[in-house]
Amino acid sequence: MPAAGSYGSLLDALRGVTWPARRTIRGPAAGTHRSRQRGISPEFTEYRPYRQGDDPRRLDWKLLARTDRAFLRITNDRATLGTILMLDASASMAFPIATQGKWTQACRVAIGLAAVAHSSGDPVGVLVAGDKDVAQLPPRTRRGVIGEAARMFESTTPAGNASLVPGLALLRPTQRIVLLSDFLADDDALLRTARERITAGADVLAIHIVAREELEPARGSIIAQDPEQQELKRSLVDDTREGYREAFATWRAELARGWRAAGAAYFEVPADEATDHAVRRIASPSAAQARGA
Amino acid sequence: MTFLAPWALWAAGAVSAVVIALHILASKNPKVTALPTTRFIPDVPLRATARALRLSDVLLMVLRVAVVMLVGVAFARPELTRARRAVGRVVMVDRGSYDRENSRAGDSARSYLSSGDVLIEFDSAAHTVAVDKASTALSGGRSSSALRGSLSVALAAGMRAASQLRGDADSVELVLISPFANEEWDAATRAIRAAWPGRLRLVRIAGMDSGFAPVSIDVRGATLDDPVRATVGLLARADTLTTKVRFVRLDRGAPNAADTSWAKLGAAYVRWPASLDSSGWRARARTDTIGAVFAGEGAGSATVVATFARRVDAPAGRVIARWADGSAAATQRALGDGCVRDVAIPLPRAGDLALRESTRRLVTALTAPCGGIANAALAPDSALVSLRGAGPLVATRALDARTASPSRLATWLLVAALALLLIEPLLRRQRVAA
Repeated sequence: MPAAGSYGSLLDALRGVTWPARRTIRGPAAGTHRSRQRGISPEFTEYRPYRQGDDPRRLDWKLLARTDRAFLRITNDRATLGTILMLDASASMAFPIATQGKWTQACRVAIGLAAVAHSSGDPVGVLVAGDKDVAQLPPRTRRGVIGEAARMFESTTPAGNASLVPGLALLRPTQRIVLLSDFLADDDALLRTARERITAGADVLAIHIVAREELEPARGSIIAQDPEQQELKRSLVDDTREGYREAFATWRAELARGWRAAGAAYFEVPADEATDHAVRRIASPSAAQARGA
Repeated sequence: MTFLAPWALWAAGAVSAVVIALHILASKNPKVTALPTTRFIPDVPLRATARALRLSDVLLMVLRVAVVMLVGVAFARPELTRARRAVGRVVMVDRGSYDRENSRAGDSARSYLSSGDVLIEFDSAAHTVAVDKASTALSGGRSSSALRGSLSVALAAGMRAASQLRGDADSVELVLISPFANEEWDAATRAIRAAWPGRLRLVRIAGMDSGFAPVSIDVRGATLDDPVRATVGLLARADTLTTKVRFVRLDRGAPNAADTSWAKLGAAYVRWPASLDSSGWRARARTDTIGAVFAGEGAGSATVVATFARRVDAPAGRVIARWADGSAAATQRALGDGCVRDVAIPLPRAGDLALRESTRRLVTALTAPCGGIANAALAPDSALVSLRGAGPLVATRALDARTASPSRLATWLLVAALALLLIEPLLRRQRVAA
């Protein structure tokens, strides 16, 4: 697994990249994302006739003095968007065993997205669902949060049957939640929980990390064993290879359809894809608009 | 290349076929590999086998087959051979049957010899002549032997030399060229002949009389009244002008270098000093008298009954005459192709002892050629038929058990097999790791 210092080139490649929210947000702190609130910011939007109950402090007194009509001055607020990056540290992420490519790619994508969000002033937090417990780094805007996240990844070894569901249920609904996983464990429960968070106002992105060896297994005959369910063994031979490909592709298509139907963004990131390219793909405004659509 | 045990090749081939079949047919369980998406593999029974030969399998198979075949070839006892002939010959020539003047034996031998054959000269001993020197030997480069030939010696040497033809001939024929005189037979001849399973080719050299020629005695250093000279004068004289004779030099004086050289060429030199006291031989501790002396054997034996005063002992050597008490009266030692005899028998000048018939027989026995008195009588044809035998020639394969020496090629093949056997685990481990 890469050390914290090895992300330097990635961070350099992502300098200047922004990651806009796909819809207006509610947030008290001033930030870069368009807020749903109309408040006192200097960015004027429109006038609205005063109605009983409005805050008289928002009246445009100068306009009232000139025209003797009471109007409220409406402005657009900008807010920050807390971003939580949730990493699946189950045993299936430590694949291929020799390179641990899926886990490495998940860490690099998480660091890249965290850096992009942090550069916009958004609080960034990390949650790693491991075998025995959930390691969490609360959203912070302070300097050094990227390094802390990198160290957390470095100290984590994917193992066991970790699940993102418990951690997801505990998050605040107004945050941007990024799930980095292979979604091979509890995919239905995770989708159901994510749907609840989306309904509650969270912006959820499902980043599906896929190894090239999973897409195109090496030729030859092997007995495949699920690292999370040791008792599950299947023969991957020439006769079953095509069936495997079809079943895996169908499942991925259904997974993407399910997440998108739930209102989440879904991205499939191969483990051998350039990380900066994957991050730009995820954070691009067009992708955000597509997700919003 | 020939194989002395070809069954080992068949056995190795069968084992190799089994190895190949096992490589092709043996199913092996694929290795277990972690795959997180295992659940998407169609659930079929775990009977996955890898029967397809991979490159590593082929190399391993070739290596194993090579080991088996190398061992098989080594056990098949390979021998690198030249182009094989149908018949190889071992030609045995009686050395007494040819010399510079008479080349009939040599001509006969040459007619049977061809490249790769073996030539053996024999008299009382056998000598194998290198094939490239056979022509020189047969053309008279060697002198004839004064020793009588022995068929037993010839047969034993021929049977031993026959194994040399194993590499380039299918069968072996023993060719025996000799006058086949009675004296060439001995008690062991029949038994030795029976040990050779095939027939012999016998070539009798007619008229070969040099070995059986009369003897001409040249007496030297004798005074006119010398008793030995008188006895020799009573013997029949050989016609040296018209008949081939064999010369024997009887020296009553002291020998010189010319006498020694003469004896080395195959003649008999008899030193019979007239004065034994000045002969230089070891004097007896006490002079005594003895009543008789005898010499020779069979028909040529002689016994002289008289009173002899013994002053010296005969020098060391093979005893050819004994006193009545068994001590040596005359001895003989080989010198080159001839021999030297020392006679310590004092013949008195006075009396008629030198004129007796028994004395003549004694002198005749002591002056016989080195091979002894030749019995020129030829063996009957029935003896030759028995010696020739019947049946086919002897196949060289039949000589293997007795004569084959371990081939170095087989050793090297086994070493190569061992080296490959050491490589096999490495290749197998590499294949498993892959």
